[in-house]
Amino acid sequence: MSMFKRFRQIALLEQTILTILAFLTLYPLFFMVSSSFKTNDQFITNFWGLSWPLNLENYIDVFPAVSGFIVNSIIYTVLTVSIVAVLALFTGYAFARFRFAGKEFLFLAMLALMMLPGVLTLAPLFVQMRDWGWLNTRQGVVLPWVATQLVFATFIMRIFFEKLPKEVFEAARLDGASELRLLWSVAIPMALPGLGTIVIIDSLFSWNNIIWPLVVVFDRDKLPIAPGMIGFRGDYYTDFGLLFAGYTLASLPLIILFIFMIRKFIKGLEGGLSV
Amino acid sequence: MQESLQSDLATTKVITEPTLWQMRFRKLIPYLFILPAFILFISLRYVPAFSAIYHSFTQWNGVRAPEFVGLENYVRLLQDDVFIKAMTNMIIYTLARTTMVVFMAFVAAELVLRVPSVLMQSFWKIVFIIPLIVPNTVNLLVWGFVYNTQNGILNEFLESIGLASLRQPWLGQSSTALGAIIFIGFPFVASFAFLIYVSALQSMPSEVLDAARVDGCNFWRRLIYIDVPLMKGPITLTVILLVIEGINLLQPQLVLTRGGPGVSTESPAHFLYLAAFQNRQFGYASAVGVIMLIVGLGFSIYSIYLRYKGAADVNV
Repeated sequence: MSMFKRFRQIALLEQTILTILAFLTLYPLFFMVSSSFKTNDQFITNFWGLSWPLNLENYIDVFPAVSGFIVNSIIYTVLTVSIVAVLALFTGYAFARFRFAGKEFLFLAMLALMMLPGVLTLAPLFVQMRDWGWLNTRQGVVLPWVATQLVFATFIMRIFFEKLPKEVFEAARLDGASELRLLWSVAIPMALPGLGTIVIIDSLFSWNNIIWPLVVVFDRDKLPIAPGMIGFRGDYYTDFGLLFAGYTLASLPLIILFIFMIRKFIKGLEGGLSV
Repeated sequence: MQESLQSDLATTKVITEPTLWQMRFRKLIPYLFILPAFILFISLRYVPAFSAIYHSFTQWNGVRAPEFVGLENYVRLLQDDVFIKAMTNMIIYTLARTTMVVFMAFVAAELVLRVPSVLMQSFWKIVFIIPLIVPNTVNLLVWGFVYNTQNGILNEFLESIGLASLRQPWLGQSSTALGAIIFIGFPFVASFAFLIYVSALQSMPSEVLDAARVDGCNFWRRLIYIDVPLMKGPITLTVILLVIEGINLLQPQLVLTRGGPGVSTESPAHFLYLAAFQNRQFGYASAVGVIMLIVGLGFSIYSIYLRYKGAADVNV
């Protein structure tokens, strides 16, 4: 009996530690959301918790200041993710299913790119974009992102395609299917989980990257959300309700994506880093 | 007769020629598949990387032709107090952060997996994943507010428990700014490390755990004597990722401190950014990038060496 009691005490202790950790982890975010519904008066008088009535006006007021950044971010992210996904499919497929001269050398040459610190190429790439006339353009933001993200995405797709059973491909090839047909009707449907991982990792990357847009984009109107919010804070420094409503709005798109893909999300994040 | 033979030859020729061509084409297919990706890799990664290495030996402002100066940039860097400070900060940040993140994420992963019900396990996992979904900038800005002097969460909390004397501008004074940046995201559970540990612990052989349970191992003993040795691979993987993240430390500087106050939170990556885009010293900035590359490569080679020595089995 006492043994059970001890187990229950330990379980209770563990639960308490977890609860404290969860509270500390989530409180800043709760604070952000709860403050986003407050007027400045409510913010001062009721600092810690929610205060009623919820004041939705902050969101209406702040929406025009943030919506542009969000739209830009969605455009950049969708472009980056789709180009990466398509190219990673072709490249990963070629590395997994073909034998060709220089294959492993080319693959290693690609993987070596992962060793480059992100900021190493900042200055030369800026000059290159200027000479190409790509400053302040969508391709100027997106294609360097694609070149960065494509390495790991191709790596994932190669491993993924190599795991697929060879027999399926052999059978289809005997039936006279062309390489493109094989890729389209056999490989892609089976590769969807791998593509899901790529979509998640690359969306997080594109949504979070601050430095490259800061270098390559001059017009504030063209900035994505991550660098855009830095200037936003400067504009609303003393209006706490508006400030936090803006922060919350900036977080919403990824949270919505998360809600739709919650299972994939967990799998994707785990799989992406422990493949 | 001869005519018909000739026409026969003609038809065979018509049949064989495309097959030969097709065979050649088939050999080309894989190269066509990887071509677009490698055009991007070469033009947007390799060319600028080699350009950075070359220009690190020059004086260059991006407009006029670069002027070759040999090792001068590197010599200047090693005598630049700000750069030395940035490197020191980077080392302190990386050591402190890696230790705390690995420890907290590991303990939390253990605790979550000891929760008996699967449903509750998923609940806790989701709780600790949510902050990963919030954009980095927003996370940093909210933490900037935690440290605010006026109305900051930390200062208000200290005041409410009667420690008003400890109120201070956490990010606004050199003595606490770097510490404040290190503690962003406290208690450090919500991280990729947590996810990696959870998935690795879940796939651990259950016989080992059962044996430990029968032997009456308590939580800490099991953690230290059984789980940690078995988890060497995942732990090494997360240490590598966290160290590389530390070497590239840049976002808190961009969003919150700009390396200040003074140079108290300067990092190599932010130093490079300022050298390039504030002072237009592209050559000098490139030298910083090359040093970061060497530090990162040195660390990666060392960890690969550890892996092949068998000290760490990372499943990559």
